[in-house]
Amino acid sequence: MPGTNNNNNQHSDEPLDPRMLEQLNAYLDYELSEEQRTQVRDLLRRSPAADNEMATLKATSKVLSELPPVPAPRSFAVRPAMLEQPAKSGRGFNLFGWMPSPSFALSLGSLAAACLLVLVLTAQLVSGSGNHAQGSVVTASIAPPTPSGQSGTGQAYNNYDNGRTAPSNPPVSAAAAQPTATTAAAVAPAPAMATAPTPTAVAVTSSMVMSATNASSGSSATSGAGAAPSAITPRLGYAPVATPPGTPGTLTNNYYSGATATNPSTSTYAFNAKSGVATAAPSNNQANNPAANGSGISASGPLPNQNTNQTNNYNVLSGSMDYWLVIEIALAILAVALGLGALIAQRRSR
Amino acid sequence: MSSTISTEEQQSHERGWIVAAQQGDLDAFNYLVASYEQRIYNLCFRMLGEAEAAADATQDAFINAYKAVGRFRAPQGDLQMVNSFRTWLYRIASNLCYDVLRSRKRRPTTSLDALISDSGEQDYEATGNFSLAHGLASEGPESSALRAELSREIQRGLTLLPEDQRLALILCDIQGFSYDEIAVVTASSLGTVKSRISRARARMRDYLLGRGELLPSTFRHNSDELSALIADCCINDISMAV
Repeated sequence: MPGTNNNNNQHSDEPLDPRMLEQLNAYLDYELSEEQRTQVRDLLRRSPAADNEMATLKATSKVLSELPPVPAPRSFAVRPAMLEQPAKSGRGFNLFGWMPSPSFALSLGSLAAACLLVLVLTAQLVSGSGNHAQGSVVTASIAPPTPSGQSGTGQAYNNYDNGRTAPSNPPVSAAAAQPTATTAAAVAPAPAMATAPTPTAVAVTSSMVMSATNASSGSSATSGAGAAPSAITPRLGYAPVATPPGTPGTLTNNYYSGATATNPSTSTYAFNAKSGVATAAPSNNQANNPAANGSGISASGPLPNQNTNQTNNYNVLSGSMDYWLVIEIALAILAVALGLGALIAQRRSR
Repeated sequence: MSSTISTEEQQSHERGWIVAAQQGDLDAFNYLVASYEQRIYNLCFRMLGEAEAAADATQDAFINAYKAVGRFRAPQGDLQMVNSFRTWLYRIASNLCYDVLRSRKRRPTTSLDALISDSGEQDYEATGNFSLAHGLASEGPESSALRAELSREIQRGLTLLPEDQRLALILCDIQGFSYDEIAVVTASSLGTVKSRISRARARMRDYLLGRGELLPSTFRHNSDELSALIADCCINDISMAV
């Protein structure tokens, strides 16, 4: 009945239109023009539900407005020392008045880390300066020495480090083909694994130049690969591992430190890792199968009595992709994912 | 008339303090702090529901305000400048409260009930100044307990509101801001402010009515009686007629 003020429970049975509810609240807060107030008054006279709604809303508003102020526990005067301290509440830091939220800061940090990793990766791959001596295992089954009697042993190494063309003392335990070598190099040619020259096995790495030295029958290969694993300077805590003599097919990881040695290189291979094609530029008649990836090269040693024209097989173990690269790529992906996740979380929180 | 003059004088003083603070005068800024700290702290307390977090947010708000007051663009006129400074200060404080609430979401270590009951109630009772909790001096213990229970329910209801709606309702009903001022503080449109206040107030009303069974026995009535009790309990001169 118009004009009555029924406080029934109709407000819950007949919910008002949200816009009408806004009008009632605005009326309550004196935020309507006089014309609008008149319209609301007419509505309240006509609709008991609206009238009841208004009554309860007004009671709620009054309850809130009657809440007494909570006394401040202390003075909040600003002292000079406070200006140097980090904020105690939500924001972690205040950089020149710009106060990013923690999630935004996290996303920025993650993206920065990702960019840094990508830069490092790119620099390594482009310059070939990774010196990824760790990890990659290259097995070279080195053919017997050439009749030319060139000194040196079968060396296969990656010129993957700082552009050095002939890292001496190749990481190779390169059981090099030194018949005369007193080293542990005399290892039987690596069998199946070592005989499969698969350039594709190293296709993961980018342009990499590998110069491989195929030593011919080891004459004076004292500095040759097979010469002295012990001469290899370990790097990053890796100790060179020598292939025990007489261990056929033994693979040796050589984590070389880039120690130099004289290598009578007889052949050089430019290895395009992207295409997986090795271009051989042998200086002798040997056919070479470059298969070096990574820096650790293990050469299974010479067969002293083999034909000198026999093909040298440098094998790269499949899966010998430099795992440091993999780790770096994974870290980069992880950092990007973290950054994106933080950004998404921040947007959702807003 | 005297109160009007006093208000004008206060505004004139505040204007001078603002100008001085913009020139790096920390003492002048601290006069402003003394003028606003009670209100800012109450805003933070109602938003966060916890005394310690509210104190930290309040302190940080004033520190940040002092660092940024040089960039505060004050309009001409005492009243305009003071009002603008007030909304600017509230905006800094409310943003800090949002940050605290976000960080809580990321590190939820304390339950909502524990927050309210542990900190809020103890704070009120420790200070002894929460009149809804303690009631009037002439009130008996039962009435005082009822008011304390009601005040806890109000704070709990506020805490359960969405943050944007909570801020709008606190600014409107507790701090007495107009819709225009709330729009400035929250950097939102007038329509958004109206919508938020409407929904927040309706939710708060429904919450209080729905919690009737949890309130003391005298509150366990139907909704009309409860609303009347709420009104009678807290409002002496409430008139249900519009």
